[in-house]
Amino acid sequence: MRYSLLVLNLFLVCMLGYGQDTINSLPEVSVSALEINRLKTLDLTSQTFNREQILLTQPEDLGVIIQKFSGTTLKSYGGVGGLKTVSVRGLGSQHTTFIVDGFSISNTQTGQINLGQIQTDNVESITLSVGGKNGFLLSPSSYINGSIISVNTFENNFSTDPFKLRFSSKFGSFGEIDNYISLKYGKEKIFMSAFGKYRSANGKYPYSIQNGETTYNGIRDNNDLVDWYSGFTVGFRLKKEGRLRVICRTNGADQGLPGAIILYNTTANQRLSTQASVVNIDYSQTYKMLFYRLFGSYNHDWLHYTDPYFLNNTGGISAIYTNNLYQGGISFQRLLRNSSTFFGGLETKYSDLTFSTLNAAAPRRLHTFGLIGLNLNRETWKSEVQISAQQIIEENDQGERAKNRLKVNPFLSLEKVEFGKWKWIVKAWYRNSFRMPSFNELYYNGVGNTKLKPEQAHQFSLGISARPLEGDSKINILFNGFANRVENQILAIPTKNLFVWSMQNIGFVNTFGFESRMQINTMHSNRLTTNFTLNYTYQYSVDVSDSHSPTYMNQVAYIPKHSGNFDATIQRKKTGIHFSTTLSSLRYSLTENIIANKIDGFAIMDVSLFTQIKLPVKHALRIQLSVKNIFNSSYAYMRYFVMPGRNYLITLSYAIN
Amino acid sequence: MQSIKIFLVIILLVGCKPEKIKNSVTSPAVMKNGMLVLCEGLFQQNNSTISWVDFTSGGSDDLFFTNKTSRLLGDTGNDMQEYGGKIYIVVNVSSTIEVLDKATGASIKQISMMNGSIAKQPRSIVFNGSKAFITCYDGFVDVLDTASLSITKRIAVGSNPEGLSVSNNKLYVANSGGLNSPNVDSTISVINLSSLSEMKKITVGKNPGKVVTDSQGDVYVITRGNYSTIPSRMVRINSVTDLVETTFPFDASGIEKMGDNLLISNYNYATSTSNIALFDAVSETISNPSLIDNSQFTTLFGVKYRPSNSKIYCFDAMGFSNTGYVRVFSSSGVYETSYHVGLNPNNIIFYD
Repeated sequence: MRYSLLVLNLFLVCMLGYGQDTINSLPEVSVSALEINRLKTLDLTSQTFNREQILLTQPEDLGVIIQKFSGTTLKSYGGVGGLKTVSVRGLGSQHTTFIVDGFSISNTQTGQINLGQIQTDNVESITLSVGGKNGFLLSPSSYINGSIISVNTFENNFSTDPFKLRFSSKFGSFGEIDNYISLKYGKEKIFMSAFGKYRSANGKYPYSIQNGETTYNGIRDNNDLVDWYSGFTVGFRLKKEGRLRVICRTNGADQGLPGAIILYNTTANQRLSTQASVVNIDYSQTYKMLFYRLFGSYNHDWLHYTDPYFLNNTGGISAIYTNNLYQGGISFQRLLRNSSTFFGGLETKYSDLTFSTLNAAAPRRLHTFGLIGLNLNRETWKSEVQISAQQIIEENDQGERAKNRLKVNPFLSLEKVEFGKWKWIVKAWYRNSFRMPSFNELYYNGVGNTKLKPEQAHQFSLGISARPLEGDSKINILFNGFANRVENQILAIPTKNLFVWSMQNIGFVNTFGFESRMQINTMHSNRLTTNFTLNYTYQYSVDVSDSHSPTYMNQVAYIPKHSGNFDATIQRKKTGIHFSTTLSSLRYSLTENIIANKIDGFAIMDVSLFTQIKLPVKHALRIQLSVKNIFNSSYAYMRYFVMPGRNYLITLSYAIN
Repeated sequence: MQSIKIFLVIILLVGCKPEKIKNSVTSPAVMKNGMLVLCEGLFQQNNSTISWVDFTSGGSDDLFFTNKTSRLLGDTGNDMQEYGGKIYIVVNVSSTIEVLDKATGASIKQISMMNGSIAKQPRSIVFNGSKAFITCYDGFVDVLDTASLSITKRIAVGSNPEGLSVSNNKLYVANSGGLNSPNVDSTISVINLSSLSEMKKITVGKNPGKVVTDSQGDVYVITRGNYSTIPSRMVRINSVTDLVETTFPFDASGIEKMGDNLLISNYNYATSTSNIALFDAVSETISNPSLIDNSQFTTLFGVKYRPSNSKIYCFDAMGFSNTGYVRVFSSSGVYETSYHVGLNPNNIIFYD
């Protein structure tokens, strides 16, 4: 009967372990005139944070930064090292493609990336894009999913500066120590970089939960973490604008899994070790008006889960999973007359998974992508048309396999630009996309279901942005309304009895919402600058599967109707203060919208003081003191995964540019 | 800073809309003419609850336990039985036994079921004389003294024991071995109630769960198979010889005693349908294969018979992730009424 405990625990763990940190690279490759032209209009369908903003926020990982983008919903199972995933505009996290330095990171075991294991020390910029081909010569697969998160790192960009350095050292509450160093050497024809990072924390943070009329105060146990990251990159500039990069990385982690807080039983003994290795190679070139990029990579992920006190006859659980992914392809872009572009590419991914458990499946997948598209650019209007085709061939050496799939998906957008005292952009777009079920969803022992169909998503969006072209302040106002529909939603539900769960295509979800953003950056006299950003997202995301169900038209579990954030920075010369606020309205842990399933909304504020110490040109030394969750709020993203209360972080960072 | 906090709170309040509670009542100080329904909730959500259902108004108080004890029940309430004026609630993942006064619902004791730092994970409880017997997933039956409310002995049985029942001064314990899936257990441990030790193991079939003693003293066991290729079965053990006498050739997921009969519930995975059959435990034959049919339920999760009014109370789990219902039928299977309760109802204690 309690077979399920095993299955559910392992399933969660498998979701947990497999986010590798793979920091690869986007060619800063000839950002051509046409791309610059394009960048000017990026603001309506993409949002970007640069290194300076990341430094101000001092996030534990990428998940914390991504939730500052409007339209996103973060699911976080804990602080440092905890599993974090993000969904965009009410679509599941598997509808988002993750790109680092031009290479897509995917994990066919879980279908999603654990943002809790992607570091931000080396991130120069991060962009969330929906609706269109944002980015240059990325892999075709990245243009055809629901949304893209693209990261650009320090190590993997071409540089002709003879020597660059990034160093940071952090000391925080709950035993957090974090050291990162990266060196980069550049010449006209070559660049090389190498980096290393080590982080540890005991994770013993105090928490409080309400148990009826009493407040229970405890300390999070079995929440320790050690992780490390290292890698090197070599890049060559070749004849005729050719560029070649070879990127190698490896990282590992060993951590306790504290699990949900269980009343009256606080024991937690599960542990997880992960290792990931990556090799990426790409070559890009310009030939007259044609830009193209060839790319290939190999990812190897290894995960070891243990539960020594699991009540079976073999003295606990020790399970190992190995996931390999090989991918390669070509992406091109051809400049046409009137700044219009024709683009496309071909890509293929081969992946396999080995479970160490008895009678486990051994799935393999060949996923091929083809894409062509046209960007028509005129003075005051733009249009983009994309058509993509995907073929998925599935094999399983042990038992049933999922059906092969062939899918064709379109994308259409129309954009109008008006210039006056203000620059106005209006953009409408439609995307049809799908996500394949992950290996876990198809094959996981007891839970997996090989009959699963891909989850379909339709996205409609209509947005407007405005920016004054005159005045002292830089103001940017944006509003995007959206209507999305998910069909054949994949969810784990109990099927045979309460303890035997299975993945099913159960439903339909409609999401109506809007995201709004306002940024005001002002340079005052006396070298005083102020930056304000306000984001607000409304998501009415409801279950429309069955009109007789008690959950019909109920808000989908874990999606807040209201969410947002407010960030403010006040800086004079090199010293300043930064406020960072995250807000979420109530959510439900199950889709039945009743009080028993309610998770309280929260408002969290972090405050940082920072100063940059004067050093010779090209050298920058910065000290920052951050107080996170300054009001010591007790809050949770996921039911009974209480987040840390007030905590402190001191960051020392040094850079040579 | 204060103004920022006020601003944040205002934004939060805008986002938090209160909801209506359907047909709620307040649990009385002394309970009568109603029922307590244990709702086990879902794993790792600490949302096990007890609903008080008032038969006069038909309304329920889903926070009965919290209203009576000022705290939450915990995670996965798996069994609830009454004995000697007390109610015993077995809370599996929280690893506790909650003991309440039957008349008032006041908490008498919370018994922590920990073995050092390892949770014993209790599952089911039965009583005999001055003792309660509790199956624990760590491979033991714990003996609880019902006067002192302390554990006096641990009897080793097979792996991951589930249901248990008393017959002929012996205790029959189903060793499920569920945590070893797919290599589950297939045995019943027979414990001598005088010596409090295991006498023998009887092989009954894969993954035994529910155990019930009929009016003749025969012991019936549900073996749940592997939910796919190995079907579930009902097995009859002669409690004199301790031998398996019959393995009935039909699928079964639950048994409930109804006088000289047994109510046999079954959920058909292939068709996602449920039904309840009437089994004559004297002639040992099915007397009505469809006493209550599938059209009455969304998800049949169990059955309870109430001797005082001869009615059948069925648990409808509504797909397991929505709050459930207790649906009431006459002894001839005619639908009468439904009561809305908490998440995944699995047991009842009646008050006349």
